[in-house]
Amino acid sequence: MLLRGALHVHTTCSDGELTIEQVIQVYESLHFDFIALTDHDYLLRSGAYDRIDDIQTNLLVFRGIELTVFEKGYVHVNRIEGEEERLFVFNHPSELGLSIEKVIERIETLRSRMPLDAIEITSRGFKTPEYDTEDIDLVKVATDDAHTRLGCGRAWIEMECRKDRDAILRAIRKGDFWNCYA
Amino acid sequence: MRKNRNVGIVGVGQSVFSSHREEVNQPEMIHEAVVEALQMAGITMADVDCVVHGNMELFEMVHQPDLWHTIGTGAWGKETLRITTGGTTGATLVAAADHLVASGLHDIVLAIGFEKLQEGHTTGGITNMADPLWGRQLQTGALTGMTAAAIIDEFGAERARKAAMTYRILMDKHAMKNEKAHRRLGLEFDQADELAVNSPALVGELRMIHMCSQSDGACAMIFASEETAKQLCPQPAWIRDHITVHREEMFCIFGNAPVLSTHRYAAQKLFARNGITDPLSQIDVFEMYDPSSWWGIDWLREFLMLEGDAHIRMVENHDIAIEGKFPVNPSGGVIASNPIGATAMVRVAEAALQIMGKAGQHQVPKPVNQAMASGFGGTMWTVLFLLTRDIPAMG
Repeated sequence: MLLRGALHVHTTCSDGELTIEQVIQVYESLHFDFIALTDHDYLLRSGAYDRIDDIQTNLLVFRGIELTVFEKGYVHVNRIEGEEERLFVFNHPSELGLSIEKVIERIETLRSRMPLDAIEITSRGFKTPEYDTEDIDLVKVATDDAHTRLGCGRAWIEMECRKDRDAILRAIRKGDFWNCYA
Repeated sequence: MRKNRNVGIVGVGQSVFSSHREEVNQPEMIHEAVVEALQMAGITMADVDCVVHGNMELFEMVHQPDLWHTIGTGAWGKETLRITTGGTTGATLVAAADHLVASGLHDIVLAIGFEKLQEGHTTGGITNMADPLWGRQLQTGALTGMTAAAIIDEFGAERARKAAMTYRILMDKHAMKNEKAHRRLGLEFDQADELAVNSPALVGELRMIHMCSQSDGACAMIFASEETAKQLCPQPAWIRDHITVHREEMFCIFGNAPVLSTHRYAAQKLFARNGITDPLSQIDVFEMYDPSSWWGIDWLREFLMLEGDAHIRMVENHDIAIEGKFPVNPSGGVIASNPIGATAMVRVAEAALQIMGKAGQHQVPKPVNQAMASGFGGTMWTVLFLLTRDIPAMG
């Protein structure tokens, strides 16, 4: 089936403006099939996502976290949890203010610490095409990095896939999806 | 300060503050604040004699932005003044507008401060502020760990760290009451220990959670002469006095000799000439420019001329909470919202709203007869304002 998904969403569990329930409602209204909640690590309280399973929704909701990793300054990496699979995404490189070469250096160094799978080619849902280059050997994904209602639904991925967490993460890792922009 | 005539603040407008206001351009964002200020004052642009406009011009990399912004400020055909003092721009805007009205040159002045930091490269600009040799250990542009180190040295690590986090959480609780604030994180006191460890370190003991935001936003204020203000507004916020103090050396000063801070110097002068001998009882609310919670603590001591650990105890006892004995930053302060060119202006605007009784959910729950507001920037540049509910006596 054709699925539409958002891989980078913030809630009031860190610095987002919408609660988990509100975020789910918004993305459902935008006809999404899955979203990944990726609140900032240092603000996310343990157990904050426990209530997800109690929310009535047709959305598949991934639990994730936006890691703040020190590598010659702070970089952000999303870790998105499936059942067995786990996806690591290097976030919004354009916000680092570095050259492509420097970003590649950061990626190479980080790889010794975590298995990076993908890189965002968006900043807050706006495409940053300079990072959509073969010089970066990571899968390129488009995300909202939504913190507000207005930020939801600007950029997403679509794929032909079973609506299953691990199947979705495996498809992303293979690059078996399309990046889409509003 | 001897004035030719009194000046009242009769209108305040603020845009929504956020890290990314990408849904509006600069004039549109400014327009939000201008419309709100005009509505509060009950006037139109036809009534405005002069527009004072300011920001950190280089931060957005737009030269003479006031020319473009005319479509948002409504300044077409008006006398205008552009101000960029560097860090304290917002407070200087208020001082300039006050002088323009007090002097008799204009009866109604609209002042606008703004910054849209998302569109520029603030860090690039501000990092060059620090001397690369003198400031290299602990100073990285606006990020400084030296105050934290000094507070820890004086009061011990545990007490100092706890006070900084208590201050931070209190400011967040205030921001949660201010729907326009940028960072409203919903922090609770039981998170303090976790945040103190998990929040990313910036410089020394200064962590990300302690530090102010980088925001997009605009503030507009309308100033009127006494006669006009009385006609326009049942309760203007009167500008009783203000003082600007600055020095040119940076934060690092050779030797261990005590240095009188510009904050304390400004407070001493301002209090002396306005008969304030006990600021804690004579001032009802303080909107303080607090770039980080470490500076917030330290600057309470300076502005209020406190000795020993009185400033720490004020934080520990929650005296600075909105419902406390001496409310500080009911708006959430700079830590919550920091559109740089507007930030210091927002302090005065928020103090004015408290005097006028129009601060909404973050109105302090007691009569506000006298409010203080501060600005800070670049070369140890302090601006300090006193606003009153009663019309100041002409000296």
